[in-house]
Amino acid sequence: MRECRKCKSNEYTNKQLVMMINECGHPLCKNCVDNIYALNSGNCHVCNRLLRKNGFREQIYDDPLIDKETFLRRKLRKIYNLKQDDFETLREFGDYQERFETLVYNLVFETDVVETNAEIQAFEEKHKEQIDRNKRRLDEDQKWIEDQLREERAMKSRLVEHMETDAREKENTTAVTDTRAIMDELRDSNVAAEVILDRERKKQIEKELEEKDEQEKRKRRNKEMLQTRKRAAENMSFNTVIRIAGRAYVHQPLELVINGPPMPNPAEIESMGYLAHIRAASQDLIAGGYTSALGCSRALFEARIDLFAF
Amino acid sequence: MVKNQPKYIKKKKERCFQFENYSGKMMPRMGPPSSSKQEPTMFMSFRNPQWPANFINRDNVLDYFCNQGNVFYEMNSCNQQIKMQNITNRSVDECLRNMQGIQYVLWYSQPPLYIVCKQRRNNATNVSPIAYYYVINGSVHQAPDMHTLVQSRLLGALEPLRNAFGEVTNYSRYNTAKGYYWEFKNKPSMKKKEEEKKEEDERKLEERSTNFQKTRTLMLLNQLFTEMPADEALEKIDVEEEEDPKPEEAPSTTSAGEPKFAEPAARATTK
Amino acid sequence: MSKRYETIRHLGEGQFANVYMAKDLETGEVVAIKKIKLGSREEAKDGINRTAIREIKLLKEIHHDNIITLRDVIGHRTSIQLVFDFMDTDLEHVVKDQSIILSPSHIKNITMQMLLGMEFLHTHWILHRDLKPNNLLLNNMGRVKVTDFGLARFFGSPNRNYTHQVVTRWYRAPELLFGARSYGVGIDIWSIGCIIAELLLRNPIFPGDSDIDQLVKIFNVLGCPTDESWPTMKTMNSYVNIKPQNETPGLNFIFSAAPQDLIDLMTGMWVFDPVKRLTCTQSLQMEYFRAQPYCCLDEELPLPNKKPAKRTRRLEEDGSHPARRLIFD
Repeated sequence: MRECRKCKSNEYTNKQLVMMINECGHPLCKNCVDNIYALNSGNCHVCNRLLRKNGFREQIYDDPLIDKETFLRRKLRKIYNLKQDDFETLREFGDYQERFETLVYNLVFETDVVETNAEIQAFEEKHKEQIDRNKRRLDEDQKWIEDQLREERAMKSRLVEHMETDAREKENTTAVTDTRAIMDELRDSNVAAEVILDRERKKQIEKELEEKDEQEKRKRRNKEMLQTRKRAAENMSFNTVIRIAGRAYVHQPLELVINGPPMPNPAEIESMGYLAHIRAASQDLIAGGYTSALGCSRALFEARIDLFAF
Repeated sequence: MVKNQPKYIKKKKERCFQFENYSGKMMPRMGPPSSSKQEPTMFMSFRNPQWPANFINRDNVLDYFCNQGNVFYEMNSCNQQIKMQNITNRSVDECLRNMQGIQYVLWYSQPPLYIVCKQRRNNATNVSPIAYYYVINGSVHQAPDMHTLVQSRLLGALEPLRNAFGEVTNYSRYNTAKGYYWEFKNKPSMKKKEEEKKEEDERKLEERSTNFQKTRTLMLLNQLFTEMPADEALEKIDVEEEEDPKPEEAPSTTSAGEPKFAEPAARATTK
Repeated sequence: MSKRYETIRHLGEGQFANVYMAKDLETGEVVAIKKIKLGSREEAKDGINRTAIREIKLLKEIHHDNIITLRDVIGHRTSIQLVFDFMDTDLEHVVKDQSIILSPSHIKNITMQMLLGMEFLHTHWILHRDLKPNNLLLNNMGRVKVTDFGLARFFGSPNRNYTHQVVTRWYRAPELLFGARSYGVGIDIWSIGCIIAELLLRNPIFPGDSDIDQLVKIFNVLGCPTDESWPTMKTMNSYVNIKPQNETPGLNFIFSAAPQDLIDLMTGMWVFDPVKRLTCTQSLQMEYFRAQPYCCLDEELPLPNKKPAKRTRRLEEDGSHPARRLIFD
């Protein structure tokens, strides 16, 4: 957590805490900076270095050392801005870069500050011309970045354009190329014109149907996905599943094996005149549950049973 | 071309069949019967005017509960089976122990308050509770189950959080050097507005239950916790949530937001 | 007794017979032997008891899982012995045992076994005519078997007049109480309805003291038949007009814990007009058997003095287990 060393306020006590940092890399909160450097300059509360108020920037990284390093780097880069083509060999350029890193390291960790600063000063004086010239020059990397950005922008516009033309073409091509092909065929082949046209019409209808199908499929897929998700949500309950012993019983009526000609079914007994040959059941028999059909089928059963045995 | 045609037709048929099959199979599974029925019961209550409320005691509260008019009482429960089968020489508890299925038992009693548990008994020693009902002064209510309670609480907490995140993303900016950072143009006013909004939401949340209900459920919950010791973690979470959702919520919005943004930036630079 | 069977003990005595538990020395199985009493001179006129002849005649032909199997008939001088499967108990004992609670799936299982057995009988043109819990046996495998064919006979013949003094009164259908001369499967179905009700209530639903009281008891529950619901009822011999009671409580109230599909089944079995009453096949096709809760396994059916928990098949050689009374007549 960030905390101001001076006033001890931190992110928890002050939600709007803004930490500031200067070249020495000792952070202070904005309030303290405003107070201490009201006169635009003052000493660092840690290392006592003389600092200017406008040298303070907002602390970006949690580790103040990194802030300090980036700050120093930026400052040194203004001086050490030589490009590769300023050197005769790659090795020299490498040595120059390595030296630069060493200087940055020295300054950040404050080792041999005096010598380092002297060296920097000497370097600046020695290469003054080159430095001034390079201020307006871009190095390879920067050029490359610029190029890349330009390229990307171009690519994007090309893509958009391509997509637009594609869509436009799709509308046209099917119609245009197809008609051309058909016309060619009509001219060249010996098949009757009606046949070709008919076939093409069929093709077209089919294509349309397929498209429609595809759409429907997509729609259904989406719907299914939604449903499964919904179902999953609904099924998420803390109840245990009901245990099912056995299963639903679907009854098949019992077949009586009579070893004889098949029995007419009840509807046939009624409709095919079987009942005409037996005495109609009287009212009081019907009251007890005996019907003519019952007697009739019993008689039919008796007549058929084991008939095949003889 | 000619070859293609039958293939296409076949394909279509197949799909139709699948679809029919699909709908036929899935329909009965849509929504477990219990959950769809449970929804409205949370707002229902039952009262038998023929029973004076002060007449109810721990021995007859189940009789009071097991009433055909009670919306919470399932007529095909084991209790009703016992009643219908005229089993009189044995206690209901003993009978229930040897049965399987939906049962109602007295869970807790403290004279004006009785808690009836609806449970599914899987065997003599194992039951899974389904719902709790409390009988206070003769009226029966369903106790909200943990799921509903936590769900409603979570919803109540998440909605403002979601709004806050939605709001806050408007202010996040990115810069290669600084990484992610906040940019509030008119800081104080926006902050205030947001806070106001949050407070409003919280007030709404509180209004959902009366003070009486809150204290009641808290008591019942505590009782349940002591009676059914759950996993420690579960208990802690629920207690925290029950007591006060506010303090947990406020810091979480800020603390959750910041490190998330700061982390990738820091990693990038150290590389 | 014949040499093949070794009597283990006396199980019970009925009106027409003594029943013994015995061991089949050839197969090692335990069987029940029904020793027909000689009875009065009148009954023995034809040589042996008529009910025994009926039973032998019918059972010799019938083989079904839910109907008692007549394994053997032993004639020994004047006595006649019928050898049956040994059954542990009957439904009456189950119903009366308060330590048993019948779950919906138990009841569905028993009902189904009962109906399957009766359907088999009815398609073979046999009426049982004496269905009651007492005549439905249950063995330790949970198999329900219809027994006691002493009153059974073929039906569907218009010429013969049947006696209406059949079926134990509590399970007697209204057409029998009204003195119908002829009847069909309806009387058995009515009895099955009463047995289901008894399984649910654990008490007989229509415990009438006399034939008239029996009708009153029925009408108190089901309401009175009307000319529309049973147009032919007034043609019966002993039809009596009974004043309709005020409101009946309704089956839903009486069988408070029964699911609607079961109520529907019973309503169908208790239709007054026997022509419109359900048949066994129709009953088995009712929604009740297709709905949850499904039938339990046969082995899960409870036996008196026994927990309905897992029972392994007891060794038949083990004669020491407490055998339950077996009642035939």
